[in-house]
Amino acid sequence: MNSTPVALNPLEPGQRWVMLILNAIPSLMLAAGGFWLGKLLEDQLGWPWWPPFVILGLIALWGGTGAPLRRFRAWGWALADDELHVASGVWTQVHTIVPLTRVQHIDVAQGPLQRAFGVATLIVHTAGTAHATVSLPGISRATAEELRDVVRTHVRAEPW
Amino acid sequence: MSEFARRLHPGTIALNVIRGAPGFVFGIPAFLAIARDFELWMAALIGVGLAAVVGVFQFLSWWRFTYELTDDALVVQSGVLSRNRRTIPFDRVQDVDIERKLLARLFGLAKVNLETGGAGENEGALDSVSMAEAERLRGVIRRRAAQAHVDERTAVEGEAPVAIDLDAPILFSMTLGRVLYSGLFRFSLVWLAVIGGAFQYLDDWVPWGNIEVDDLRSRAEAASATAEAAFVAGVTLSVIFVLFLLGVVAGVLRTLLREYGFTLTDEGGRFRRVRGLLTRTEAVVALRRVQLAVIENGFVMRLLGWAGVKLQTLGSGEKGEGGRQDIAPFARPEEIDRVLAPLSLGRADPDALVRVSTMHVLRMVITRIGWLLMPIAALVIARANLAEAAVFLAVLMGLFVFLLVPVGIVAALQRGHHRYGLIGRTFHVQRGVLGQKRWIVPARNIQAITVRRTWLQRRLGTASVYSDTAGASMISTPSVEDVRPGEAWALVDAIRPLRRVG
Repeated sequence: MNSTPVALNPLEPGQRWVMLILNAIPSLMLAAGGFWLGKLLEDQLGWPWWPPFVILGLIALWGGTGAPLRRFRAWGWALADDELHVASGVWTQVHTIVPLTRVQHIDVAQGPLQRAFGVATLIVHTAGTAHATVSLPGISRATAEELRDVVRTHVRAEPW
Repeated sequence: MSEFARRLHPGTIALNVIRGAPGFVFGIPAFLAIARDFELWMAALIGVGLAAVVGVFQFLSWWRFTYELTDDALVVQSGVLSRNRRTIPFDRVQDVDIERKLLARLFGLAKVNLETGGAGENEGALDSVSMAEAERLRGVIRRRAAQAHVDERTAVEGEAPVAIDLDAPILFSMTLGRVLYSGLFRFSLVWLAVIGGAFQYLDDWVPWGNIEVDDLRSRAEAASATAEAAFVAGVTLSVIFVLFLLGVVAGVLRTLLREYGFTLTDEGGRFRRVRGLLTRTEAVVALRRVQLAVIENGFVMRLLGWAGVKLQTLGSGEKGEGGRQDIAPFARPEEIDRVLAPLSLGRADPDALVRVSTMHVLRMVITRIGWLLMPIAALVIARANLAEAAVFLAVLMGLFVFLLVPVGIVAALQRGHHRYGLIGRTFHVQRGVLGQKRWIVPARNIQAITVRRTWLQRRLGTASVYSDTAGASMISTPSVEDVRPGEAWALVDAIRPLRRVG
């Protein structure tokens, strides 16, 4: 996305592994499905078993490696003055700016997989409706807590 | 300042008995079936006994319902067998309104609703008290609530306790003529479905309806084929005409019930709106809580120079309106200016606003009928017979070209009417060709702001800007679709600093 107003920080490297592992399961299932379909066609119609396996396997390979890595690179965030910037998306690129004074409450979430790789998700809630929750996965627990504290001072400074 | 616990008005007993009556009526056939086995006097005795039981129960629930104003809360105790004690602290009370339904008005009673921040509807409702008591309660609770709010905020807003101002200037009101006239624009097709359903139901009970038509038709048939065609056309046209007429009448009636006696007063820091024919409702909008204004009108309304104004507020508004409040449903531009002035908002001159990119037209066309080109490719591949594929290709291409002109014209009109701009500290967005919406948003009320580019938008070199506001439903969020990325970021960069300064 051109002319981004601030320089964005990438996510923690640990999040890359979280995303790869999360994508590995459906990818393996897709590859297995391709193998099964190939065998089925071979049994029923006498076609060679490998074309469906190769086609679906290649899609699965991309879905399990290239795609999550591209998605990982698309994520970016920055804390500029009193605003939180969160950018993401490969096909549809989204850049959201949340003024910290408009934040209602903040969550720091950490799943078991994220805990294993030392990353956390920061979830920011505003009073709005369309983009009321902005979540930022894949920052370190320390950064998430630091961000939370910064946001908290702003929330306190300017009540409704 | 505490006072003794009070009961609701005794008339409530009668009111509740009457309210429960429709349910009672359904019990009559069952009662008659049983009563056949008894003597007449026995049946009468049982009937009187049942009525007495209902009356006693209503009396008991009235007797056991008390409310009490303490220094910092309203305490409501209720329940015949199990006691329930509810405390509503005044600092949670956003507003107090008085609702008077038709039946309550006949008894000279009113229902007092305490609006708290919560989502529940009947968090604090006193149903019903006398009109004088309702006025007194509203005055006391409002004063103490305002006091509690000020204490809580330690004068952050510098807001003095608000008393009801009976001589507040009227900002906007509608005469009966205006209400009826505005009803003509509220043509409602939903009602046609209801009427149609009713006719279908009645059809079984009115057997002559069809016979007569069939009879006429056979006579017409006997005459000639042309007469039959004319007959069918005539019937169709008159049915359409009657349905249209019914739709108009339903729209006028609904508007009359809702907007009769519409009055909006400015009480300094808050608007008070009173309206309704049978159910008189009163709503108060604290200007501090207003997030944005929307001016809406249909094509004919706009041609004749009319429009409606709604405000979007924090918290829940009237039931079902989701934080949106009508403050002038049918008004002239200068009246709209007068209503918006206390909010320091103003209409934007359409010429001062900027049109979105011409690429918006292209994107609309592609997303609406671009998919027609996809099956062409699929069909060409799937069909072994090339001649057949060519026919499909020709048909779909023909359809595409046929639709291209109208879809293109609509998209071009939409692009022409989709304008935006930042004037001073206010963000303006206009959308819609026939039904048009114009959002007026103070920039500081914008919550998250998002720049979004889809795959197609990146190919076309455009971006969309979505501004999120509080208290809105998704549909009414002002968005700017398809401007050049540089312009999108310029807009965002212009809005960003405005949000910081209160």
